[in-house]
Amino acid sequence: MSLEGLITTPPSWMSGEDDADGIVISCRVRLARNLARYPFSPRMSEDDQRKVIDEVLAAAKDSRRMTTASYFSMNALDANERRVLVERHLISPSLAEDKGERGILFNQDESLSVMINEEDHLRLQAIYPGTQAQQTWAAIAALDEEITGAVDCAHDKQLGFLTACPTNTGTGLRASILIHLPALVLTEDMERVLQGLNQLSFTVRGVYGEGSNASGNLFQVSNQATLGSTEEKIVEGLLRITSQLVDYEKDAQQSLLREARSQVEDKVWRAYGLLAHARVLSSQEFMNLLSAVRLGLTMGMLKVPAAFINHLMIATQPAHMQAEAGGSLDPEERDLRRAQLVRQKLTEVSDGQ
Amino acid sequence: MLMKCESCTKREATIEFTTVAGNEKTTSHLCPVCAAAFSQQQATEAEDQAQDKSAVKPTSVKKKKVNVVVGHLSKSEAKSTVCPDCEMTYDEFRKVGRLGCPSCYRAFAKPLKRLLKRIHGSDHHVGREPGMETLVSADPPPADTGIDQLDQLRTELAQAVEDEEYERAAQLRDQIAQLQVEDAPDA
Ligand SMILES: [Zn+2]
Ligand SMILES: [Zn+2]
Repeated sequence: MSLEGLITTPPSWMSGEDDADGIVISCRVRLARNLARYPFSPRMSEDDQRKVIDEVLAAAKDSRRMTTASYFSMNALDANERRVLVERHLISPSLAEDKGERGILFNQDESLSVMINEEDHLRLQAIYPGTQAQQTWAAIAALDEEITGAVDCAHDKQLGFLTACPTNTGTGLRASILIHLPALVLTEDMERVLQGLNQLSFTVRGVYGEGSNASGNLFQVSNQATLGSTEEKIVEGLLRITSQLVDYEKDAQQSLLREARSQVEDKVWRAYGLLAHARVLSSQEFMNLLSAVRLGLTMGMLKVPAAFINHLMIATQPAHMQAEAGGSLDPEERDLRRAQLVRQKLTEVSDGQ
Repeated sequence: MLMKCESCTKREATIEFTTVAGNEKTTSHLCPVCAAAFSQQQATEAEDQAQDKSAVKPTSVKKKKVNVVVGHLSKSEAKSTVCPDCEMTYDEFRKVGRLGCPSCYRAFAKPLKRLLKRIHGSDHHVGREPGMETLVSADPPPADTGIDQLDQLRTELAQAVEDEEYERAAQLRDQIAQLQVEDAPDA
């Protein structure tokens, strides 16, 4: 597998399956793991880093779930290639920017991956579409069994898995969903929902932007505590909260329709029109327009496939556009190219119907 | 892109921390570690509210009153604690927010457990172990009957008594009594 091949195909978690009418984009579970006989990443020598990579890759070779996987060393990739991996949610910005021997192993459909030598020696990750939290958990647990069963893992009877940061100790598990909540933002209920979630030990943050001012109305909801609950309980808790959020969002959408149907329809169709004809699109404007189109999909006004909207979200990001253009683009060039790309894709999808 | 903690400036700020003193309201953005250190009182409050797991109601939320700042560790404790494997001191850990090696967990056991308790509301792992076999189905889980929750609480209670954490034990006893009442068949 090469990175060039990567940018033209959307990852499997963007398929739009089980997405509650476009509201829940994806679900991710990651596990933090460390090898017992090495210092944690911030205190490691490059020699240790290489040994950890070798041990992990040897363990992964025997994994039945990673037979299609490829490994990429960060030092063998250029800055834009690393950013492509960040935009695809395969690696963290810090893995892309840090120094030293570190890399990423991921399978062909990008549903399973292992970051090596990030803050922890291993960060196992599974991402699935929509609300498939149980499937995500099943996949990551199976990979965890194969890999932690084959290496000497840092673990304590009372404290569970030992991690570099005490916020991850225990299960090392962070479960999250990517969710679109435009009506809750419009009706100004979002602030209260955010605070309610915080009190249930779940964290919410805007994916593109801060707090409730998230651009594109996309939020990531994840568990705070990693110690004291079983993995299953944490994942079930996230699922429960997800279905509540979906209900609140749908209620808010219904009340918008009752009170201002024509304004909402106008907003959706205007957004569609702008996306289809604009010549310059900043990323902020694009995310907001795409959010309105996604709202139109959820409300049944538009027949644009969710997978298409999801794919646009990735294809229009800077590193993906630069990889496609084969060179760096300044912000103005990106805005032109973004508009062109969106127009072209929208023509393709409307011709196909 | 992400907001950093205003206290340690290292970790991601995921908690909005509001302090109310008279009419003065100050809001700061903190990471879980610093927020936990700022107030044990808040952790207890959050725990109380978390017990009502029934719903995320978009109703108004009262601002928390926080006026206690709790330090992690006494000075003498910090000086004397050094990890024998990686030579990190507890003071250093507090500065960088990351432990040096797995042995640090043993070297700093006492203060770390207090910290873990403030961050997670627990210092006992109840989940998977390395290489553990997976018995998960792709089907949605059965409705929570409260039975396994009872079992878990009883285990935690036994542990709390063993650790001589009587405050925690009393809390658990109340929770167990509450659940048993809910589980009792309607007479
Ligand atoms: Zn902090
Ligand atoms: Zn150490």
